[in-house]
Amino acid sequence: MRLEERINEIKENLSNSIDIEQRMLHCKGQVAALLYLKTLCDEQKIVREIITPLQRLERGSPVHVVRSVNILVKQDVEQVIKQLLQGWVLLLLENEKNNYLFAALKEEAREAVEPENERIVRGPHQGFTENILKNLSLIRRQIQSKHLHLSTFYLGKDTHTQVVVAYMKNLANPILIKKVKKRITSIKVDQLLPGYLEEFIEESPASPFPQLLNTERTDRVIANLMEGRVAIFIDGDPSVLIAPVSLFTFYQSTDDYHSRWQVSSFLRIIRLISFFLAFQLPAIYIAMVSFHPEMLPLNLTYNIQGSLRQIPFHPLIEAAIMELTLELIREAGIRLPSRVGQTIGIVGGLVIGDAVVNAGYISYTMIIIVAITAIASFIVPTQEMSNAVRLLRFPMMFAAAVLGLVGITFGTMILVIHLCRLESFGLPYFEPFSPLRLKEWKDAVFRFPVWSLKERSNQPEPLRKKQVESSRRWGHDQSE
Amino acid sequence: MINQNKTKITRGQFFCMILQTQIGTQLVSLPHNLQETAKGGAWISSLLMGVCIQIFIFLFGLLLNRFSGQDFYQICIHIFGKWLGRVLCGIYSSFFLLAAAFTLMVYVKIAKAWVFPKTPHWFLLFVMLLTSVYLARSSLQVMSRVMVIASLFLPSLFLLVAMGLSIANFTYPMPFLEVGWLKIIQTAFLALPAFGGFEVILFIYPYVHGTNKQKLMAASLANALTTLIYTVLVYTSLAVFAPEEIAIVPEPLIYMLKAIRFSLVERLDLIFLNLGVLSSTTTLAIYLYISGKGLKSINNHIAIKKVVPIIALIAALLTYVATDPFSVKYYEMKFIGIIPVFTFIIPVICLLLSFFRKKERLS
Repeated sequence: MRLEERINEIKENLSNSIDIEQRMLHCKGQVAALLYLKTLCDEQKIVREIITPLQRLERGSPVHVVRSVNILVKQDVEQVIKQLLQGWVLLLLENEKNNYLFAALKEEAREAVEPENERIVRGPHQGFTENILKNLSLIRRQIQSKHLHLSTFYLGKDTHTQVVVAYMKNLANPILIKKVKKRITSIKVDQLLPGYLEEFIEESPASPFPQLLNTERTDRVIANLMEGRVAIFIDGDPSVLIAPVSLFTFYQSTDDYHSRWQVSSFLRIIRLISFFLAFQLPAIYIAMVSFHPEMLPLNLTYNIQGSLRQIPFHPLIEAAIMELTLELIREAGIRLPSRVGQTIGIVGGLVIGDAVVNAGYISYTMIIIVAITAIASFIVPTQEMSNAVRLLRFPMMFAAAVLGLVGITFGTMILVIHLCRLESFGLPYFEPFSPLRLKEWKDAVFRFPVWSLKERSNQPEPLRKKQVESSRRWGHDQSE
Repeated sequence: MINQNKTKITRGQFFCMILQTQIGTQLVSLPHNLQETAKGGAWISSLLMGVCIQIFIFLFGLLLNRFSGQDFYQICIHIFGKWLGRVLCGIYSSFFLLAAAFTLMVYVKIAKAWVFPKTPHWFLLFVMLLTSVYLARSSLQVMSRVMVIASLFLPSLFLLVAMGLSIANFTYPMPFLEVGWLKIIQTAFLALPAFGGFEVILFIYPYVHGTNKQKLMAASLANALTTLIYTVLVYTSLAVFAPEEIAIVPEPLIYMLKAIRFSLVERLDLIFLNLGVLSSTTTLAIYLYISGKGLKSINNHIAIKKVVPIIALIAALLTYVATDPFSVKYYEMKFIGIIPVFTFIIPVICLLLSFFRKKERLS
């Protein structure tokens, strides 16, 4: 085949797109062509590392002179196309059948800044970027262990997205790894956009609870890898998926480990209380007001009933209106630039909140309840769980409106049964509570001092449990 | 867990499971039922029942150890042969269906009397069945985990009841032996529906980790704790209410809690009722599960998951036989008559037959 025809064949295969760049040059005294996608490749790099050495080449193989790190020699056109799409440069020589491929991908990565949605007070302010290589290097740099294993998959027939599974070979349970890999390889789709993967590999799609932890924080991923969990990186997505998780993983924040353990334990308990408040409080209010006003002390009952006398709605409607208004304000606030967002906060929070009471539609007590609920749901350190919990309060409110406290009991029981049934990659989701393991409460419910956490959490069933060999032994050492 | 056999449960879970099956809605009317005939000795009746059940737990242990790894349904088929054994499994399955229906009946009766006088019967049944069927459709392991969480609430139940002692008059139940030992022993059998549930040992025992001794220990501890709670509970109501008073109060425990107040919560009886709902849901779920398991042992192709809703539906329909408190009481007395057959007599016959069988084989 002539050079011209070969070039056309490649171009044809790439749908004759306008970003195919063709550069003719002389090499070894014959005509040669370089083909690449200029949208992907670093042109300076091509000039410096490929074109200049090639033009000087008089005899021998181009492989020996080109300064690219990665070089391939392929015959098959299909494979050549695949490489071109990943930012490689193709060299065609007039008198040679071989297709030479050189890597020249443009490196585009933003700074590893702290993620907006997972801010902490103390600790490393570093987050992942959209570039998978940069993300992996962030991990590699901080876990300098020969056991850190990365394996790669390409998913999506058209998008060909790179997915990397990372784990510690000496910690992660082999059965877990097998499960993760099996689920990833079973995905056969046209496009795998960031965010799709979670839904493809989770166990119970019907559950409102997230079954994989989504995080953009490097320290969080590292801590989880060191507990024997698996991290899944997706190219183009700054958030990394972590599996398996338990409910309590979502309530741990990395800055817990940067402050005194008493403070952190206190905060953890506050968070767990907020977990209940976020979906129980409006329900309890409805039950108390519409079913069992006699349950509260007399003075409080008078107080609440007094404020309710003018309200034309049933407590359920009242609560639903206010909760939905709050969701409205919240959703509007997210999309707007921060300065306009503040206005929304003032209009929504102050104006609506005040006007709605003065107009006599909603009682003050309801406003207080809604505000506490909202704050309780924002305490959760992860966005996904916060959303799940906020959604739960609507069925719970309905149950309370139908059967009062007994309705809440039934609702909570269904929720607990659901949590007990839920599994994340075959491991129990509600772990230190069910199965009950009081020992694990040390790090799941409270935050004991790090030196006292001699064993890793059993939730991901790591191969090696011991994590603190010896610490704080200086007291026994007389020489000091 | 990830690579373990998922059908086995731990001893702690076994303990909680028995506890949760034994403690059910029936406990609220227990003092009233016992006091009717035993007077001040009602608490002794409850204690005696616990001791009696303890003896049978040991007999169960003897039986189950002879057929290690098999539950009672499989043992029945083993002893009585394929056909008769399967018929017996079917009968047992219906017994648990009845037990479930009876639990439902008592729950609806109490719910109607104390919180929902106007809520329709079917709706009360529906919510209860929704929850318990959801639980019963889970694996034994998941069920046992839920039982453990449910058991975490038992101390509060105990505390609530013990709170009654603060307003008690300890001379009310005296003299304890007013009606004589014979009557007290006879009355003990009236406590059977409240204590009922220990027979699940027969069906769960082979799926528990541990040696026979450890498993029996767990079962015995559960029974001991139930006996303790019931005895304290009966004694408290005897001491809080005068003998004439308790005779006209069908649910003395709830009535008693109505009189106690806290600064933050005024009606403790409502909290108590919620705990009661919790325990009856767990009881019901286990009955449904074991009834379904019986059908599975007749035909292995039947999935427990699929039959449990059907069993629940039949149990719900059965509750329409008795919708007022008096007919519930009437059927309660009839049901008490058949409980010992299934929980005491048939297992002991099986035990005796198994001795006989062994000899036969040797000769």
